[in-house]
Amino acid sequence: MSELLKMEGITKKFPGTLALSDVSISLNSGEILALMGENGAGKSTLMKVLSGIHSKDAGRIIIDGNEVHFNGPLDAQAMGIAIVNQELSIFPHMSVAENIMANRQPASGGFIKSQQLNAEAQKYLDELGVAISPRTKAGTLSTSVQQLVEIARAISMNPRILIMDEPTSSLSDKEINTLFTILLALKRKGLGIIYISHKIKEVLTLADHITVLRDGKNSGELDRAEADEHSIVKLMVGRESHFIFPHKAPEGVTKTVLSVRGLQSGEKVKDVSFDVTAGKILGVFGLMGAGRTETARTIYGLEGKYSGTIEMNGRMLNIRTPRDAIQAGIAYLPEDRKLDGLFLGMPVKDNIVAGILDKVAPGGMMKESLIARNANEMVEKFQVKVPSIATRVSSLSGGNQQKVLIAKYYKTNPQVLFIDEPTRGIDVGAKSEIHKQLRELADSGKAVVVISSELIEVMGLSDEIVVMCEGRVTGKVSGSDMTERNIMTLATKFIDSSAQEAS
Amino acid sequence: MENKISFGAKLKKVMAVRELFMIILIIIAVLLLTIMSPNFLTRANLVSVLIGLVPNGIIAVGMVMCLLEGSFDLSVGGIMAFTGTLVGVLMLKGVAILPAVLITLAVGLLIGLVNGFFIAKVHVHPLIVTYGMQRITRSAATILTGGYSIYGFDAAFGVMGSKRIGPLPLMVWFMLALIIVFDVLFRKTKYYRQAYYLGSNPNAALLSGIKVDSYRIQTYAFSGLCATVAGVVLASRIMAGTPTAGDGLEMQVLAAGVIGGCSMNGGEGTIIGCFLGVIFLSLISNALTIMSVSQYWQGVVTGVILIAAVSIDMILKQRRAQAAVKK
Repeated sequence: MSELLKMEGITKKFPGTLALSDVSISLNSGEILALMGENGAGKSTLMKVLSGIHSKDAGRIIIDGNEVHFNGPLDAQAMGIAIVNQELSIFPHMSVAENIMANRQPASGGFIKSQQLNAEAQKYLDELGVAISPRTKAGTLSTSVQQLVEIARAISMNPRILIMDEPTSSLSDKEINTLFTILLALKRKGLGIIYISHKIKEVLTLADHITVLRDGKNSGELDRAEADEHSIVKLMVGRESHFIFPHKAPEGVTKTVLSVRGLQSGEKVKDVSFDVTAGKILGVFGLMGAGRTETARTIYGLEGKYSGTIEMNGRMLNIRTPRDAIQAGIAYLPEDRKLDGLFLGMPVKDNIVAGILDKVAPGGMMKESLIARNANEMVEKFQVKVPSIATRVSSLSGGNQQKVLIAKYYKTNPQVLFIDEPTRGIDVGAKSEIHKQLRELADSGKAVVVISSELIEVMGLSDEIVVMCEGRVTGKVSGSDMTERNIMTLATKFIDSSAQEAS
Repeated sequence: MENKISFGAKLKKVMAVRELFMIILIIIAVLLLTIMSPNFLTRANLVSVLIGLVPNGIIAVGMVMCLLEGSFDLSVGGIMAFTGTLVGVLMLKGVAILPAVLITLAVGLLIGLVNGFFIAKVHVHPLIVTYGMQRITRSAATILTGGYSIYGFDAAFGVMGSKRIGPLPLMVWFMLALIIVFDVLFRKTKYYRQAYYLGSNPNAALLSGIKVDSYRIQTYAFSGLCATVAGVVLASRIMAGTPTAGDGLEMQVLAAGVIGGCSMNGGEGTIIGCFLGVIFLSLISNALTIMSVSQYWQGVVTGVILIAAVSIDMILKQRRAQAAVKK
């Protein structure tokens, strides 16, 4: 085993945030390195630097003892680095074979040899044990199979360093087992694998070494022999950031505002019932694919038809569009702020008043003074750090962007505020500020629903937690029942039993 | 149950292949036109329809490449008019036919490269760049000829229109050959397949090693070249250079592409599909003419057909997407 890769003192700045600060990792050939950390710790950014997508502001990348410089992803690929991104990068209109062999199709005289193309693709599909035809259109496949196609693409590049960014997040247990078998086989062939995950169990099964990042810095390195769940969690969350959640709701707050019964919609929401109390924070927790986000989207009128009932203050609602939901007093802050929430190219003030255009445009004419007054009021209330309300949202840090989004929805005066992954991609300082602000909203009488895949966050923030699994509510915990163990048992209720049935 | 595929399911499969859908549509149109007008199914009329659609057919090849990338080229009509007059001016100045044609093709390619440069490198929106280029080239055509049509070329230049092979003039065969060759190239070659990757997912295309910027530039150069070929062929057929030729042609071809199965978002479509769209729209306009429908009404009919065709497509796609989710 020789040292294949060394990244030293890597620093990367984005407008408003220091994403990576002096981070170092080392990888030997024939070894699996797990890169761990909470969301926003800098794992993905580091890997984007390594795969040539982001340029680094400082530091060195050394492969086989020689320093290398990447001007783009092609340079990294030429050095034998292949990445399977967390976000899918599938060509939906093209065949599986053309996806796997993208831009490397076997050809003679410029003409693609279809048979050879399909045969080559078949080889990689067989290697992964994926039973699909290479002629299938990739867009018709399920997300998990699409991901396997991407893994096949990465492997087909015959890389020396393979980066897997949270590859199991949409895979079933059986698919995960297959993937692990493949990774171990690749490792035996001498590949160096960097495996990004925040699933501790997976990492303990698979990795030889573990590097933990926190807030864009190295938090610690562990050998598998010395690593256990406890030591990893400690490095991931750090001592001080663990206990700074705000206070909980006072006793005796019991006024139900929103009541959901037997909600069902599409494939992801099968049977969901819960109550939301004014003045409290309700957490909704579940693993990937549990239907958390889809539940909120259904209630917000984004998923079309639903069955079951949604009642607000005892009055039955019929929600068909987000407009219906807003009028009923429901707000939903989406998971992907940049894609679904913000008008990135527009100034802070225009984002803040986007939901109350009627109010800032009496008689149909936008009044700049009203816009400015509303925006300044919100910037102050939610402590958004901006040079001016005319600053474009795209230049703000993740934390400040989230505050702008909270301000925007706050302005629509909702009674119930759903917030999906409230602190994803946000650094620790801003995280606790947002936690504090959510609690203040609850204290002021709003009902807040926090949807999160970060268990620590949900537990720290919520007064009660509704746990989901496979589209169903499997239980509700509060007070002293609110333990990691209880919640995880509920979150895996159907998954465990189906695994037992299978074996 | 599973072995037997119902007629409805089969029909759905056939309809999913856009080219077959278009052929069925064209057959229906032909049948209706034959019933409605005795003048339609005559050799003279059909040949004149085919001759009329040659410029659009040639330009369709370049337009499809743009459409595949989720873009379009609005300068093609202007380029066709400009290069059609340029080749004439060169010949009247005494340049021999072959060099005159080659120079003109080079100029057309260059115009396309300029389009591509501003789109891919300066990041100006294709709508602005290609519309601007349309204005420039059409103006240039007028300047070049003083606003009049020019004629008086060597008879040998007229080969595209005058030489017949079987019942059809050379220009029609030339266009058909172009369509077939490029349809195959777009299905089979690595170079042209890149357009599908690029339109399907530009970010992933970049990560797959496709030189996105350079390919975009080449796309507009190709489209400019196709428009130039159309301009030269048209000049050869009418033995004149007309600065007003091809007015509004860019939108006709774009519409034909979309009717023929190209997605405005890129990644989907074929040359044959677009060409069938060109045929379909030509038949409609021919029908309106022989049925003496007022010129004023022709726009209404083509507009309605365009919106209807694309609406049906969107509805079918949404149904299919829903069906796929249910599986």
